Amino acid sequence: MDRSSDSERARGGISSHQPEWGRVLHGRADQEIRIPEVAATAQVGLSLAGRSAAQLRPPIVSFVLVNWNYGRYIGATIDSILAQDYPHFECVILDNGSTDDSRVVIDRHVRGDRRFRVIHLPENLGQLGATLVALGEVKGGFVTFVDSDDLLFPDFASTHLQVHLSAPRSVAVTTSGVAEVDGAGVVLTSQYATIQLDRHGVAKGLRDASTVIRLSTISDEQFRTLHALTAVVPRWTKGWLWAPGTGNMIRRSVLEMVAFNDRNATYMRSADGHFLPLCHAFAGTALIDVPLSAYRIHGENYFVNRESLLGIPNGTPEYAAKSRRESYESVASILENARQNAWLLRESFWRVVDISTRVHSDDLKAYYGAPSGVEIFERHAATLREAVGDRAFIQNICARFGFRDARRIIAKGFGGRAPARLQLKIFRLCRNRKRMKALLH
Amino acid sequence: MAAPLVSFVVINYNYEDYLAEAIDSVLAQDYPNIECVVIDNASTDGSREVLARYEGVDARLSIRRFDRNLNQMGALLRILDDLRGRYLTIVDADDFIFPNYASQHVLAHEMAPRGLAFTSSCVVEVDGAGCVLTAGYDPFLSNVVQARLWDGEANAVEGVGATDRALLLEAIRLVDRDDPKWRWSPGTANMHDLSLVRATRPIGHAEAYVGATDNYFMWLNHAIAGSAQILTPLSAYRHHGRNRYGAMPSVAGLTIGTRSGVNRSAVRRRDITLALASRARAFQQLAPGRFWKLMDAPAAADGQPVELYFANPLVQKILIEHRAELLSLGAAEVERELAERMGRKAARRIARA
Repeated sequence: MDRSSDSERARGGISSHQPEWGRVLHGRADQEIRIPEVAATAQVGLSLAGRSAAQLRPPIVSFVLVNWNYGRYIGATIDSILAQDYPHFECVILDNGSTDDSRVVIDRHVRGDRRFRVIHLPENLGQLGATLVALGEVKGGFVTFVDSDDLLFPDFASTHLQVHLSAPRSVAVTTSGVAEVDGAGVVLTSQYATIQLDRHGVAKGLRDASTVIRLSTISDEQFRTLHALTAVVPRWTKGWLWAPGTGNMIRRSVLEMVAFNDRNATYMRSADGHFLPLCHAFAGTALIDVPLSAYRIHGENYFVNRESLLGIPNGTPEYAAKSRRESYESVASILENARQNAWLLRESFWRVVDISTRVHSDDLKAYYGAPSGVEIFERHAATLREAVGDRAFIQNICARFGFRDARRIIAKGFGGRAPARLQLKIFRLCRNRKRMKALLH
Repeated sequence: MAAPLVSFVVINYNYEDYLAEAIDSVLAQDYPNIECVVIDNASTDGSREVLARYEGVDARLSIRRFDRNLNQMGALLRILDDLRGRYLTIVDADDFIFPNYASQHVLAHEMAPRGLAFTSSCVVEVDGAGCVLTAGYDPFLSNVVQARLWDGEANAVEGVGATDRALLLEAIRLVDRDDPKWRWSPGTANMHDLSLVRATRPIGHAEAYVGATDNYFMWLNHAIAGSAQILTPLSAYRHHGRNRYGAMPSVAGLTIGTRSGVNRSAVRRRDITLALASRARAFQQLAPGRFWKLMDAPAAADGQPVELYFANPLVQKILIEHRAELLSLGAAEVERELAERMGRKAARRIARA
């Protein structure tokens, strides 16, 4: 990003001045967003209760950058990763079969930095497909998927990590605000996609500063500001909570729990759409109402899925149909690992299955009853039955399907044919609407 | 007052990669009065070579090499009477503690209004390479007692500065002994009252007792004397893929530990019932009037109704076997208390067998 021009600075509000955090954080309609210019440091220190915690090694952040023909923008994206004030990161760049000059641009900007690894895929596996490949390559405890046309502000990693390490409980995801910039990196509006802290049931604030691990890049004052602008959302909150594209940091251990078993398939869909709702349902999200990355509006955005081949405008019936088709894959990913998930989630297992559909509870039966819904449950019926036990299996299938489908799925669970004694039971359960409805979330 | 002696017991089995860091972290304590016993449980890796480097380097350090693996509890029991400390921390050889661990824990013990069974500090979970993953174990973080239960000035303890005292006053919470929930960090993060551990130790098991010390002592001793939480992280818990209990950093809401690890722990908790039933009079004397609260401790640990625990035939078998000792508490009382937990019929069967 070129910050040399004064006129641009004045117009856009991206300033190379010292960070004015307080003002940035409270920046709303009339205030400019300033991006702190910080010299990259060799080391970030950790401390605990005012003492150096040199015996602990800083967390590793894994940036995963999936690129498809964004040679025009990816250079600036890479520069913004190199400019992080938190040096303990690795970055895997997956070039998803690009046909433009991406390869040259990537090499020029990475400049041989050993924290970067570039993988060129021979063909486009889709954003989620490429992300799954990348997931097998990273080792950090925390992962950020970076869109190759977005920019990170220098304190992105520091701030997200500080929240991960000081939220009242350890959560799966941290999400921060996003500033909108145009193709040249100039802020279009000082409004940014806001992170709504005032939600029902959120727990505001961080743990006491003297009892958490502190990063040397986050000052006392900044910690206090973060404390005021952070909230943890309970796992059951439905709806979209997260920053678009870049702007999230996810625990790798939780990502691994919800990743598909087949990591080498093509998944022409967004990684966010799969990972964020599921990781949240597993272990919650912390909201950070501070803009820490920038989202480019450049007239060529590929909407949510970011794949030009499948670029169907958001809001159209085609888009809705595509989202729905994709959501069955997410549900299937929970079911295929039912044994692990039923153990991890215990009594919340079925609730997470319902949340993974991303449809309203009134629409759940129609959703499950569609051919794709019946098919994935039939396919995983045996695994499911073994994971949750006969009683819970039968009840929860009857709660989600009509009699005919329930009978078929349960039969599959019992190896092809349900015991005769169950036929009447299934029939009765399916008819007991009130009781069955109580099992839906 | 003089600084009381703290006994650290580092128990190692095939953790050559981490053992030195564990020992070094004990010897680097800023607290003046410690002893450190390192036990090698007949490791088959390079642990012996690691330990050879520590021979004779520090007067506070002694090394014990066992010719077979006695497991964690077995190893502790073997050396328990040789320890000289007032407090005890059992350090897993794959964990490490921070320099102010002992000073903060001792201070917490000394400033408490009455003797505590143990103090439990927050832990940092790290990966195999030592990189931070979480700044707390979820069952600890999600169960922090909100109210500070005492406000008094901390007693001065030799070697502990005013800053540490002030920090601790802010960061300590008292957990009432009638509160049966797990609100602690695992293993290494806990400093026990050593005399209480001696008094309640399991007796009569195989020498190579398979089982974790925290899963026994923490439930039982907390029910006797209560405990405290220290909100500042004072040690690290390592996830390296070979952990016996769980291999993932703890996060909000997800089950901790593997299925087999959790089941194993539940089975071993019956040893608490065995100890209580077979030494009923001793426990009655140790914690007057609390015997039946102690009996409920392993049931509460499973998070299940006490009735379910006592309905287990294996639990009832223990009670029948030690019927005579139990009845020394008074036949009428025993039958009444058992009836509350397993129904009249079963209680009568045990009390009048």
